[in-house]
Amino acid sequence: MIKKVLVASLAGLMLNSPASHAADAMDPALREKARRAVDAGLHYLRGQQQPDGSVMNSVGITALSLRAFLEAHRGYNEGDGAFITKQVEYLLSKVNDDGSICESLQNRAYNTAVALNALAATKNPKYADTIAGGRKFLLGHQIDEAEGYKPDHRYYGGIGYGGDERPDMSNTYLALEGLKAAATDPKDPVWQRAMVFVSRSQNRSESNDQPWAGNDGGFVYMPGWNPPEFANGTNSYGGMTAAGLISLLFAGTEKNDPRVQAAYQWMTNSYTLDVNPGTNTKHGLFYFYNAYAKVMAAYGVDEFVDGKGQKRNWRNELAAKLVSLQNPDGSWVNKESNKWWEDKPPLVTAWTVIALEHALK
Amino acid sequence: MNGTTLAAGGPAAGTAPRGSRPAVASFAALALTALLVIAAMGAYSSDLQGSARLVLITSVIAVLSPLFWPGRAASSRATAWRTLGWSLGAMLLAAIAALSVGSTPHIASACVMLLLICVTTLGAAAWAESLLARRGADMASARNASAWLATALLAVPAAAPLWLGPAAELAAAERPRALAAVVAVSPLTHLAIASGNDLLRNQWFYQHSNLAGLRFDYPRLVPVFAGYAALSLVLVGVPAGARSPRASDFNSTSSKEQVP
Repeated sequence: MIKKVLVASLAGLMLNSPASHAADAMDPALREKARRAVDAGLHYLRGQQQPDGSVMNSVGITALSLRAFLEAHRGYNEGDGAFITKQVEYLLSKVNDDGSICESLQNRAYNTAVALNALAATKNPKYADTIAGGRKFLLGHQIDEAEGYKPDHRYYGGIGYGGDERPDMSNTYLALEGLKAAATDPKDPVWQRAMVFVSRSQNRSESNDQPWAGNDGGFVYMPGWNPPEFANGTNSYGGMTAAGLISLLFAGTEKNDPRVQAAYQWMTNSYTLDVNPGTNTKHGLFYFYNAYAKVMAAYGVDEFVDGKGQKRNWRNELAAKLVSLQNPDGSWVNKESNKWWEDKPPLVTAWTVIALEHALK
Repeated sequence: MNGTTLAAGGPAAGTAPRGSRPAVASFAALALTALLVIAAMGAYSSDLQGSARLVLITSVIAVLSPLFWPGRAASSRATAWRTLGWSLGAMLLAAIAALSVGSTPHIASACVMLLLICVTTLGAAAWAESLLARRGADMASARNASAWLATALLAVPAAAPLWLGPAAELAAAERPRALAAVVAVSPLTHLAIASGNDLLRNQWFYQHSNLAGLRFDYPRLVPVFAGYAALSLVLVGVPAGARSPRASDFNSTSSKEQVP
């Protein structure tokens, strides 16, 4: 009897612990396959490192690769050797006077944001100043009154690639993810300002004051338009809806908030892993997988019912899909689109490993 | 706009020796036209960020400059001075237009880039004008043709990321550097990097160029500056050392009529 109580108690504890959560939600055989796929992906990424620790001489791709290692089920950290520390050193070598972490004029906000995630994932207090500098850069980069924009402007609260160019939903989400990783105060005005931009990118006229806003609850690239790969226009699509939903959650919006509910409904109703949902193309498909895994993990459900009334276990289905798409050398690549660098295996592999790691958590 | 009028530097430019007065009048016309075009293209709208505004202002002035340029002066040395003076004027015009909406970072480097582009373009126009005159073209025709030629030399590569982008994307599968090469040949890119602007991720280019979603690198600023400086020296310096065309070179029709 005592033995039974002990076993039941232990089982109860395991069920409630985060480590066992995914194990329960995921088919054990698939879980093992997904772990092996992660190992193979990391092996591939390790082979892509340059002598200076970089991957493709890019801060962004190096940071994503580093994060993929640090968040893996193997529990890698800086004590494991040069394949981790060299990547960290490369990122630190690209810290600029303004706090940004970038190797060029391009993509400064994007690169800084993903570098903040990677440096924060080291959990090493030695990088606190670098993280604080990057946070300051991202905060200063948000479009607000300091740049002469009033709250009624459609750009207000958004964050762009890194110059003073137009903001967009994708860069805003990545910057918010970086700011969250950098332990930005939840009461900082950056979140509220960002919510103005995020709300203006959602097809929900009740909370979006833009004249083009529809009512399906999904998100567009930025207020009023999508990239030409998605025929411009203002149709909601998967990559941005995942980005918009996770931005709402990062900013502390409650799950029962109607904006969150509307976006979640769009995600589940439009569910597919074959194309970027809401489109009939594979442009940005692996970006979608990455953002989808993160948002579903953050939303905290294992199963949902899709638009056709079919019950879906997102961890099982995403893991099975990603495992099936892996190349023999351990990499992933988008074979049907070169847009947004998805023809670059190191980038796509890092994204996919991170996506699998979220499914496994 | 009538190219003959624009490039002739005023009504008397076809026959009279070209002094400072037509040049001043032409520059005033350039300034007025440039400011109108810049305003009409939305340079002062709130959607346009500072660096993009700088690119718009400098590129409009760069493209219009050869069309209003009064052409070669009476001597090669004077032509060189006119080229430099006109280019400096264009640079000042851009600085005033940009500063009129407030201080902008990178304004100095953007203006220097415009100066170098203008010297190169006008130097090329002077070269072309001289060559055409030696081949028997009359002054007004030589000046018009050289002005349009210089404008085309500037505008066609400037738009390369748009018209050559799809071909570069196809070539990039074999030669990944093709994308960077197409971006690097564009004078618009040069003005953008000097302005601190990520050109192809501006809203308009993001919507209309296939390159924005692909991986490419912009050229570095210092080598671009150096390249233009070297080209400027050649284009302005070489004609100055060559025989300067005389007024009779341009008035070929009347010269022939005077031959017994």
